Amino acid sequence: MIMLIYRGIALFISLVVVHCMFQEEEFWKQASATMVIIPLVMRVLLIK
Amino acid sequence: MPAIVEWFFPEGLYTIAMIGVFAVGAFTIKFPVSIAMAFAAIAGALIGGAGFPLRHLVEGMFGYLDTILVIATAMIFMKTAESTGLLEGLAAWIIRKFRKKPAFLSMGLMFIIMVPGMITGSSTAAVLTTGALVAPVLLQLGVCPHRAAAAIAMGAIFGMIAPPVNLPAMIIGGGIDMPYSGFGIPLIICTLPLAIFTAFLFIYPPLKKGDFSESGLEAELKRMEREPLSFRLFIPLLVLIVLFAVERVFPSHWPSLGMPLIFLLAAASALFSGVKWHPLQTVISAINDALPVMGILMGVGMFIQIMTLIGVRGFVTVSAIALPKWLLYVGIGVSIPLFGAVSAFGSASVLGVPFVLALLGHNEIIVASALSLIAGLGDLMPPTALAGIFSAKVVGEDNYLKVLRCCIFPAILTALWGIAIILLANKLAVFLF
Amino acid sequence: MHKMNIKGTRKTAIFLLTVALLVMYVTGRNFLAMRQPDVVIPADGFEKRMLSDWFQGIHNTPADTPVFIQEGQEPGGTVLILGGTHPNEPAGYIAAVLFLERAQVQKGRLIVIPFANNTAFTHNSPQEGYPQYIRFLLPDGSVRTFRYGSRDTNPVYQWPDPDIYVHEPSGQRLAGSEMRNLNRAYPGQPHGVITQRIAFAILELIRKEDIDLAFDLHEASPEYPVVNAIVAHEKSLELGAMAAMDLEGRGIPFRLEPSPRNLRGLSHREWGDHTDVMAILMETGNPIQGRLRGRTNEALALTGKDKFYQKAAKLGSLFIPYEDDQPIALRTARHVTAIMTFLEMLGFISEEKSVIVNNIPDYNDIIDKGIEAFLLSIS
Repeated sequence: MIMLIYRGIALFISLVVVHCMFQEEEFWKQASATMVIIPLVMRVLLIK
Repeated sequence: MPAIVEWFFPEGLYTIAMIGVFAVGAFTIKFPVSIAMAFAAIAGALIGGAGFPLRHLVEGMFGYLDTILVIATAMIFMKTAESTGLLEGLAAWIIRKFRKKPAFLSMGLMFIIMVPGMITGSSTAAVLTTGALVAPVLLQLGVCPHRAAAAIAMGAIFGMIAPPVNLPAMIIGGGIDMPYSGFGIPLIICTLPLAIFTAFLFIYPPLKKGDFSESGLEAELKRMEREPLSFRLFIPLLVLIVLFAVERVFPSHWPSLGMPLIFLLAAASALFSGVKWHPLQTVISAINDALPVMGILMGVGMFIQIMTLIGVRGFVTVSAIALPKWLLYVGIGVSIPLFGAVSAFGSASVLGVPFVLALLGHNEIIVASALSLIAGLGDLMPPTALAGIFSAKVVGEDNYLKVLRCCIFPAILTALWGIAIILLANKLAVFLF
Repeated sequence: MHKMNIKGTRKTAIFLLTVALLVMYVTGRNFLAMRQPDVVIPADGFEKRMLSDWFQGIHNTPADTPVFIQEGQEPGGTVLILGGTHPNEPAGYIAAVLFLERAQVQKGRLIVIPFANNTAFTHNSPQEGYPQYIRFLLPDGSVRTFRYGSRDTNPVYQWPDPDIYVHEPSGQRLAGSEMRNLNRAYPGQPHGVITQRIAFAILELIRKEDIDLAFDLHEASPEYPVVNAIVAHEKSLELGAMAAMDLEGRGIPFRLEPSPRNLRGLSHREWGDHTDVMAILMETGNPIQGRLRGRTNEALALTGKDKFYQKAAKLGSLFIPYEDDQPIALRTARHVTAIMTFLEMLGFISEEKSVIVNNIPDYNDIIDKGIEAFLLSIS
């Protein structure tokens, strides 16, 4: 149960980060946000 | 080959190459720190003959997955408390109540900064919660922004190290199979005198001088009190405190919710605070503010994984413990905080554990406590500087280096205090245990 | 140099997200490949069962792991060999596999669990730079591959870690990630998290199968004081002393450490406290686990040859004799020979509980010919 909640939290934060990426006007800051998204999504999907 | 050359090649060269690529990336090309770290990691892997190890780069980031969740959610909580007017209202109340008692107010504010760190074991949590609460108070009371940020950063670190929860000490203990018990009093000895000293160094002087205009202050207080302090306004803070306290007091009877969930529940409870605010915008602005640090941690994760992979970590560690005895203490005082540039927790694990082992014969609990104190200083070291960068942020200072300059004196004192405690470990042990 | 200013647009964001997906796909396949179990070839006479046969609470979970049982012609005692409590300590599970692939039990029963924490074999700990596999090239040219895993349960099956791990039932506090450490989870909790349930299942097996003597095989970093050591519960201390003395006489020194009473959750403490078994934990010195190691790769896991450990040895910082290397054959040979010595001593203490196992290579054989000479070929 707690794991499901945390996957939800990770998903929620990933989505907000994606949103922020689209608002961001500097490429390298978008790239930095991409780095944050990768582990969050892989944990949501229970790959790693 | 002379021994020193053999020692240095090739790992020493890799070390310089990784740091060099990072420095050029961050300072010359002015990439974000996260990207500069990532490039340094990739360069290290290429030079170190590991090719382009995508798996290692991604795996390294996972070391900080839990940390970025804490940072993101703590930021959401803080922004919520700001949006509802709770932070400023509470700060104004504290100033009104205690401004005639500067010594008490200085120490009280320092204690307030420390509390979340004591409970969560995270300096970031301290800076982003009560640090942010105290920041406007300090500024209003005439503490200049850099010194205010320095006080918050140092207080947050002392909070992180103070009992009951000290993660670096637990990490060091985990490395030598030492249970986390009996640390309470040693950790108080480590932190309390330094916290009081720092309060008197940064907060007390302007308060004593009363160097603020009464009318200006009054106007500012009025502005800060735009939302009257009602019970409902306090709901998020109460939820936060209660959830943390219950988890710590009844660990066997209450499920561990974890910091991220607690921060989110507390933030969500602000929906019942009876004030109009925009939850979605608040969340987006919180994540936007937290993103640079979250990115830095991902870059640091890659960096550590690659430095471990190509032998740089071993080079750094063994170079540190190879120091002659008289230099060992200098090595502790310098290398642990410096390594904290990648992370205080990483430093506790990578260097803290070998140093405890190098110091066998001294009381291990006291040594580990003191090493955890010194490891805490890592949170001041750029580029990560979790405590420092966020403290600068909460006082509205963009240039962290100005804050760092103010921290140098108390930080050196902290390192010296830690070393003194190690030297006196056995004498203290007779006294304590 | 100029600031490399590239404008961020929706298009660049979509591009970066595509790159992210590609990275996740490529690395995801790599990570998921580690969930394929290792192939083992049990010697004749072993019956394969699953750990969930003793505790249903792990049935149909990734934690369920094979248990191999061989009964000899003559009645005797029962011995358990547990490898893979920590899948980053390969000599532990390779020693268990060696028993599994070679043992001919003459008297009593032998139970082997080669991969105790199965879920910890499916990933690597972040920031350690560990290899994912170790390989042995057999004389016939075929290759045996084993996963090199993590000390802790895969967080994919147990997440998040609490801030503090409060051990049940003692209330001892440890760093939160230790909650995924099987060797801090004993005696286990039937309704707990997956690691606690594995621990509970192993204890159920020890109770229900009436195990007399049980080994938990580990490795430790060479700078850690409890290394090249036998850790014994009070109930097994006498046997441990006999074995250690005999091994010492044969030039294979082991430190004998009594299991500390205040360190909870470990096999050598809780197995002994909660069942009648004589619990033994053994450690060999494994440089790739240590914090002083240099370049981290498969070769280091297999040879233990490391420049920085050579330096540290000269500084007197290590607790094992370390000259140039610490090969896995030596580390495994120590485990295997110590177990055989214990079996011999068990016979001295009690004839009816004695267990006789044949066809196990001796110390010098393993060191001289290497592990590859004693693993069975898959082809």
